[in-house]
Amino acid sequence: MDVLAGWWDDYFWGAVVVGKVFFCSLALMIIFGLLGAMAKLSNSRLAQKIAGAYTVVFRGTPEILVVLLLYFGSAVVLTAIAQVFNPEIKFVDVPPFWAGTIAISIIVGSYATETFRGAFLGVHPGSIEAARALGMSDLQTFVYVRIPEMWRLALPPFGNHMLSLVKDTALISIIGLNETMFVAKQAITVTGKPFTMYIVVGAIYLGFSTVVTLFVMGAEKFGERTTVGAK
Amino acid sequence: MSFDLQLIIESLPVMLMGIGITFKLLVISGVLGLLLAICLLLMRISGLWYLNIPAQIYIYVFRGTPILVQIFIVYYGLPQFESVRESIFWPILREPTGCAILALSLNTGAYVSEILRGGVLGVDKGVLEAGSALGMSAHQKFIYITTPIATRLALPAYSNDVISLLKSTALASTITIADMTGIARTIVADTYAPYEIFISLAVVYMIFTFGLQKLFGIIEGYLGQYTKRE
Amino acid sequence: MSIPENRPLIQMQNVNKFFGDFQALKNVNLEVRKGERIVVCGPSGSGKSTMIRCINRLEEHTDGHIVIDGNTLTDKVKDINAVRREVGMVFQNFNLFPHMTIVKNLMIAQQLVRNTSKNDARETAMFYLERVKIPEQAQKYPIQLSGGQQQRVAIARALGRNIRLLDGYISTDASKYLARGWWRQGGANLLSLGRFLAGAEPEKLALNYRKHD
Repeated sequence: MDVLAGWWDDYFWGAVVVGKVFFCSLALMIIFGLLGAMAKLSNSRLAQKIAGAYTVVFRGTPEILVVLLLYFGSAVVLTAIAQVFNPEIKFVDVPPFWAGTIAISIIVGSYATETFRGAFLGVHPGSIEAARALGMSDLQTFVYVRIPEMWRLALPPFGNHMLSLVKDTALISIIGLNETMFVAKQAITVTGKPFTMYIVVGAIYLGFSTVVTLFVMGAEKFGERTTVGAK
Repeated sequence: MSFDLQLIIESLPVMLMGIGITFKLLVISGVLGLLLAICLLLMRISGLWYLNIPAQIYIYVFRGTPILVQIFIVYYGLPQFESVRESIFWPILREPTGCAILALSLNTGAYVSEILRGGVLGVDKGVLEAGSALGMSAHQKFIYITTPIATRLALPAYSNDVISLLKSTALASTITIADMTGIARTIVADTYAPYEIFISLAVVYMIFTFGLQKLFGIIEGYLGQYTKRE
Repeated sequence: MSIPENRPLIQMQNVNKFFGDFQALKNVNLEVRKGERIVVCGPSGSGKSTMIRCINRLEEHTDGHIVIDGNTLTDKVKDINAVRREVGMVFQNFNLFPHMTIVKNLMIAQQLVRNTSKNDARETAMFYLERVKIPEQAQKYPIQLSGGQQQRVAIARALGRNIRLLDGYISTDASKYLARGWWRQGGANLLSLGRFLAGAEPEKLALNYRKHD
């Protein structure tokens, strides 16, 4: 165990990176998911088709591929653009943090689209009618009736999406993100103990998963506080 | 910046050479994972705490950690131990393919066991009671009532997991396996053409996914015959 | 040891049933003899369903004795199975096996519990189906039958047993088949119904138990 002695703080900072990726990708994932769901539920056939393509493409493509494509692809585009301005430039790098975060948000967002869509459809039509009858505007109905009810329905599968985000973070290490896997790699070259080092990575991720799961369980209980016994 | 169609035409056949490995990883890990899942399921519903708790812990750990980490632990980590290097399993564990199959099986087994458990819990209690009232033993009820109904209930979620497994096989490329993704990455490294290569590869995976969905659709239709009123 | 001819097929003595603190059955005493048809009526929540379900051990009674055709009902699996062999039950929701054809629904218990051969089981199953007048539905699945037809299948499933229980509800249509099937068979019949069954079987012997706690 002393072999880990010098590495705890490196692992800590790696874990912080995992946390940062989580919060950024969570926000983006919600945005992508809501946009996709609203597109699918809208009256525009074009929007429906685009959202449909979005879900099919990103649910059928390996996550690692999307990460690689976004990272190398954006580097190619940016380099090309930069070379227009300054032909001396050989290579423009995109920070792996952002390439990776956006990649996993897009991917999990495609699953979230389906989740939100189903949840929106699950809102009681009666509640909507009641809101209209009370004279609430469309926007007010959306904000005060649809969204809260939709969240309650979406929460269990949404929890799974959050867990996916946590675990997909490990993939970003492949494009060089300095999180826990990366730390482990360095530690191995020094200590020669790959098992130990990767187990620590696993334990850190397990810790994150546990926290997310507990949070979701708490949120579900909170959401149920007004519905238990209501039927 | 142009889209090099010629490159795609040249590269696709090369990438498709890896489809055999992708398929092999998918099928072997899928089958082994399913067997493991059934064992875990039986442990979970046995009612015996010394079977239930270890199964729960196993599932919790394997669903709570990234598959990539699990692959690295098996491939890079296990050789740390002399007992592993000297065991009879070493010829398998030394090879990246063996390690990938092991890690993928252990991982999918955990997910599938929960899916199967969901199916078992979904069986109508009343129908099981009818079985009890008729005098069927617990064993008989499980085989003749629970299993057929639970299988049909679990199928949609299971098909999703098989598709996830397909996507996870791409991670084998990170431990030097020359599956479709592995070959693609080599080509991209040489040609600096990520768009053409990765996008065409993504299309291949999407076609593969579509095929799996159609296959499961057929199976679901066959198993669900008794649910149609017609 | 000679067995008295008129021994009751169902005997409940001082039976109590508690769900936690709630007492569902209070000092129930009941005897049903061969050839009798007893209907238990009462408002919902009065425990009639619980009482019936104690007879084939779908619920466990807390105190008292239940003896079915000489077999005392205990915790032991052997005793429970001995009782269930004798007792057939029609559930309020029918609970037909959705994934089996109608005829298989009727065959499965014979094959698994009584080790009857497939052919004998099928013969018996078709015989009962004819008794309830739907032999042509044999190869269909439960979902394809109407509610009344499903209940007839459930009634047929309980034929061939000496003691027959019905829990909850019977439509007027299906009750005709009780006469064709159940009353004709001898043995004992115990029905638990929310509403009194009027005009369906003219020779019915009905005892009303109103259970309040």
